[in-house]
Amino acid sequence: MWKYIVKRLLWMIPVLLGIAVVIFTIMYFCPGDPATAILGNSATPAAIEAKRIEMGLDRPYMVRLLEYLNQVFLHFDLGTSYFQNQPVMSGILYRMPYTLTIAVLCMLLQIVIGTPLGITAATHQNGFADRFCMIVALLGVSIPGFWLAMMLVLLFSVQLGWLPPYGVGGIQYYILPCIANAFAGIASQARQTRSSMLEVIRSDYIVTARAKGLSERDVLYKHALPNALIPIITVVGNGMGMMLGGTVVIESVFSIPGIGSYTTNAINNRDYPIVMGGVLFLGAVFSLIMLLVDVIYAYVDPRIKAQYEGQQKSFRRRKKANG
Amino acid sequence: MAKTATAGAVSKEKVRKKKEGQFSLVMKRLSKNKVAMAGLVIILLLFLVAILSPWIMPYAYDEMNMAERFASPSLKHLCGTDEMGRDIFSRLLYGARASLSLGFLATIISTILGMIIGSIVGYFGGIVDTVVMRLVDILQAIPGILLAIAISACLGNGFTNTVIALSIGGIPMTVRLLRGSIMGVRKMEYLEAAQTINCSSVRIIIKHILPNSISPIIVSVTMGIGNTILMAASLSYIGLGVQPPTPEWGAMLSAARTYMRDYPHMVLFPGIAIALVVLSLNMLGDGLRDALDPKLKQ
Amino acid sequence: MKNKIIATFLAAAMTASLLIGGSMSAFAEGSYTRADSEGVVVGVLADPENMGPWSGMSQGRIAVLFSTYEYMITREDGVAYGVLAKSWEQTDGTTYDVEIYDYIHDTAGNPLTASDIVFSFESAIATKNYSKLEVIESVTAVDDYHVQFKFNKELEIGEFENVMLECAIVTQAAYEASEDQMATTPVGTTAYKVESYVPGSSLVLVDTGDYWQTDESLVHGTSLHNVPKITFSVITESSQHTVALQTHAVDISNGVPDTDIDKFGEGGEYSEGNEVGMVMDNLTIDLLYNMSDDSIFKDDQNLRLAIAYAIDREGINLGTYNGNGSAVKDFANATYPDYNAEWDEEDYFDYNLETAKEYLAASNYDGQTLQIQYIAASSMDLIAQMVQAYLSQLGINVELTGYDQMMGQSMQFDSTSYDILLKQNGSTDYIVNQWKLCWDRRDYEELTGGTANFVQDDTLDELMQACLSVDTYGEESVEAFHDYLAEQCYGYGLVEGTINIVHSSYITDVALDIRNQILPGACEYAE
Repeated sequence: MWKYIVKRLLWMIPVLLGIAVVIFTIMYFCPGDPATAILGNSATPAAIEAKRIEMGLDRPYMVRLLEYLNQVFLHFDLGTSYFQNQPVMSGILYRMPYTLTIAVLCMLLQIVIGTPLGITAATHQNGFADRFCMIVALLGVSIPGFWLAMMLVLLFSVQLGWLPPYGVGGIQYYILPCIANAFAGIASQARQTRSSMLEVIRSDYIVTARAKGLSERDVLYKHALPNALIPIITVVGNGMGMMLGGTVVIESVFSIPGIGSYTTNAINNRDYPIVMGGVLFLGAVFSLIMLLVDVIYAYVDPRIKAQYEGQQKSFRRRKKANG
Repeated sequence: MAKTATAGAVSKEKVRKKKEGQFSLVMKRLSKNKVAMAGLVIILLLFLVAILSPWIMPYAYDEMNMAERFASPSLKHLCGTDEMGRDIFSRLLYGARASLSLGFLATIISTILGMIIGSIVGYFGGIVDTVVMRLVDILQAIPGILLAIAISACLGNGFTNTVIALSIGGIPMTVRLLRGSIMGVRKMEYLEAAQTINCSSVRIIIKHILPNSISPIIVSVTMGIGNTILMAASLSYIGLGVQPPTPEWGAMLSAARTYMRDYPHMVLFPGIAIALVVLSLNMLGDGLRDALDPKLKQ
Repeated sequence: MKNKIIATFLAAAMTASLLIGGSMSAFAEGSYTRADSEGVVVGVLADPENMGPWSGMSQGRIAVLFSTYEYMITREDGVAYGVLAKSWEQTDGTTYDVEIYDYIHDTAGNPLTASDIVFSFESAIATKNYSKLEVIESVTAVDDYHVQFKFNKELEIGEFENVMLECAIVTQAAYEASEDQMATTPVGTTAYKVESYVPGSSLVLVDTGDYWQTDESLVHGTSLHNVPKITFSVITESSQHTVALQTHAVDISNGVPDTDIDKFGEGGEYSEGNEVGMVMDNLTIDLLYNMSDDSIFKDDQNLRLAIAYAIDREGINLGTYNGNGSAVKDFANATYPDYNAEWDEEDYFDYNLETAKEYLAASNYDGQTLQIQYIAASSMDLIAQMVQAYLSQLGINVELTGYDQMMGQSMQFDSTSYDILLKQNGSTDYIVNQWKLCWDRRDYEELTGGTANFVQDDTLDELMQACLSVDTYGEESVEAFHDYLAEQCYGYGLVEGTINIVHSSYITDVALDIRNQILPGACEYAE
């Protein structure tokens, strides 16, 4: 297993290189350039051209790309923001805690609330609990995050005065953003859990397990749930990835200086070092999470673990896993 | 191990049985599911509305009437009017075109691409898996909304550009989902059996692996369409997306957010429209999953 | 069953949203509520990002600029006053001598002398961030308190003042002591220094109590320090500014959406403890025709006029600014000192569909679809859609293309990309300098072969130069340009919006700088 993890970690290098190339290329072909942004809209074309040359933006694509890759991958330097005159790395590290806090809290909410909702729905298929859980889930997937966020602000900050409407600070500042952000996640978690559980519950070996006279509890938690976990874990992993960069709108509604808004503002300003640095950083974090997901896959499903390791070894392990 | 073996044996039998008229079988099952049929009917109705909207909408979708700004819902304006006095009901009817096609096109494009890649990768494994999955990793490691924002900023606003921006980010999700479930089933005995009787790879993928792995995909497509419509709303929130005055629902919702305290009808009806689509898609999706499920007993 | 439950849920959600939306008035309490007992809290829409003295312009930066740095001079109601500069005079066509006060020091205690002025200007020029400074040939220190500016041409109207107002002044010692070129720790010569800065969230400035200018008669608006502590609170979503003021989390903000302004005014729902100040924006939304050779407008004045008369600018004002803005009567608006009030009475393409139809009939328009290009933002989106609707009443089909800021700026010089361009423009001094932003051919010729919208008209150029030259600038030349542009109708002004300042009653008088940003130090406060 460790060998596999090391291999995957090494594989991250080409992935990150790929991300750098992709995002550099997108930004390169983006119309508009940072020189214009810095000079403001009353600048004359001649002044903009001079600034472009000073910033080195007039050089060809390959030169700039190789220079950037060299700087990032050989010198571990994400560069300096055009606008802020600050190293991109320090900007990212400064903003990381805000984004991470929201992402982790949302993930927890999603797992802690979404999974039981889904299991309840699956075990009470077509019953009242099922319908109730699924209505919550349906509402969750059909409400736009910013709309929910603003309604929450109106209710809890304006009407009741319980929670701060925006900004950063203690834990109370994170409650509204997290609820607004996690709602959709909870919903998709519940749906995915229900659907995987149903699939497993209907399968023959569960029928067999029931027929053997195992208690319903054992059937569910010892046999059904572990087998339903793979798609559930996939949703959790993807959700985490989405949370990391996908809090853009929530960060904007609640004025939270996270990485999402940092990067989005930079896209609007064409502040390339921040855009590329931000995306690379999120990409690296995401790749690590995905690795974690795959490792967890292996632990919940011995068949997959077997594929990671040699056939020989896997046979041994499989035997062990089965008793 | 015993459990899996039983499952494999039974599935093998099902696969054989199912050969004759799989489509009609699915449809028969589906038609028995009232909830799913209701979803299907609503979706079809919405499509009909989208197609017929130029003839059935009471006002032109961009007809401005400054004397009747922010009118509340009434018989004259069923859903009220917006900040320019445009009839929201008409805009919703016409907007069904933009929203539905945006959601469907972007999701279908990304799902089809994702399925093709995912099934190839999941089935062959080995070097194909490693190489393609690294490419997928690259794409997936870029957060979806940031990728969509960057592509939108690059291509500019507009319908086609927004479809492209929204669909690219969805590919990796489908690939991973499908690959995950294929990896779950590919070592099952019925596939080994299929291989031993010399089934071609494509045939194995289409006939055996896809049906067994399809249900998570169906769930993800149904949610995906709704998500795409919501993501389009997020793009509008940031100032990207479909070009006004095209009354795309997400854009209507986003543009109306400044007025939501005073004129809640402006956010309510686009919100309901979106909720209705997502809801019926999900009802249909649930039903389809049951109907398509080869393991489901009749 | 499922449907019924869902329907009930939706209905409940609707009711809830109506309730929340409908009953908001309960919260405001007390009439002198302050967000912070030690100072004032200002709500701003964007993070300052980089407070370095000579970095690129941004929305967040201009809000804090005058509170952190001083400039050579300041301008109030069109009149220039010295700040660091004690006096200045023009010695020949291209040379100006400036004397600065001899007792200036910055917030770190470093004395400021002529060599620091030279350092500041040279550093600012070196960044190439300020195109207004390009006219400077050299800056030299004559002695400790005298600086000589040499320019590479004779300066135009208002140009010297603009140069003096463009460059923030810091001491070389403080600048070199800073680790990040003052990006997060600006040290200027104002009364305020940075106490804390949380990027993306808040900036706190405190009065050092040691402001260098002790003669109060010489302290002008931008240097006043009426409040001991200023907190700039970054709130990116504009509707949250309404919430912040309503809950008294901030004392003053210019970010409240137009539609919420009335509620803070007299008799409004949240008027308790709050007041509204409204000034007209110096920025104007203009409509420009593409005048390049292959454009439909090139030789068709009738079509240009038809379109101009078909657009109801009052209607646009109502739809976009809730009627608070105004339909302008020139390419620029009435906020400039050299605006001629008589223009208000003129017929400046006042909405008249009949006239428009007559012009259209006389034009060469034959049903083609015209492209309107603009830089997308919520108000611009509205304006563009309304222009489109008005033109469709006239029978002209229009397609809209909204670009983001960056893309829009690069596309506006592409003659094939648009037929009509909607653009927001404004200057901080004279009306002629707003005109210059579009009609000064010298600035755009290289790219467009004419003015910013490809006009090649020698008469227009002459009239423009006459307005900009110090010798010929005056009522007459301004009038001549205004009339000629209106007659030719290469482009014209649509509307201007307002700067909406909502503030707590604790603030008795609001002060704004030349860019209409709040000057917290210069506001007046109740005791």
